[in-house]
Amino acid sequence: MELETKYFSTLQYEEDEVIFFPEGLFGFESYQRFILIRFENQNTSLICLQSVDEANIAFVMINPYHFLPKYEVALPEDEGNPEESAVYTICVLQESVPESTANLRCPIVINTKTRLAKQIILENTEYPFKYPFKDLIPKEG
Amino acid sequence: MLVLQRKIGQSIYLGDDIIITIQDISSDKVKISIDAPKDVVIMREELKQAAMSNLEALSASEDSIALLKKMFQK
Repeated sequence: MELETKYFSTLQYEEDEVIFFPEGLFGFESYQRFILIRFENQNTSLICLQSVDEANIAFVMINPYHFLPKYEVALPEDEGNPEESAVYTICVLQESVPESTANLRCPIVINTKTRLAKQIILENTEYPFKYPFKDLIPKEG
Repeated sequence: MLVLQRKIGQSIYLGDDIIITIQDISSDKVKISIDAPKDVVIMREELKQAAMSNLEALSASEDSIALLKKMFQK
């Protein structure tokens, strides 16, 4: 099927690629169907969450473990096997990378087997809604 | 900004149609019931923040994505 996207113009996708968010995303509850598109072919750490139903609804996400190996996400009990879950964080991009932020408080959790997903809010208030990239980038040395 | 104190079981009216009642109090939590018409949106603060964060995330420009890509390139 064909899809109009925000950053990748028109793409083809298969129905079995679609990730289903039964509750949508926070503030976007009616957007339930998304596909994942890599920004760089060889890299799964930078991903676009693209709505299948609306071209402009697309989020830039990173794999938070790429920078924060100790990032802890308490999965809701009914979410199945943690080993089947992929976790991403949505980013707010600014003019410069260090000023851009990752939302560590509300990760996206995707069950890679069922392709069901949800955005959750973590209880841990140490994880902010806006964690600056300048704190994510590892220091040299 | 109005600051009130209420005991368990006591209520507060917002306008004519919204009633907030203290159900229970513990050392670190208060349980509140909110009786309101269907058209009133009731939201925990962090949900509101989450929704706002998602909305902000939508304005990512192609330029800023290009910069971000560089960070991931090895």
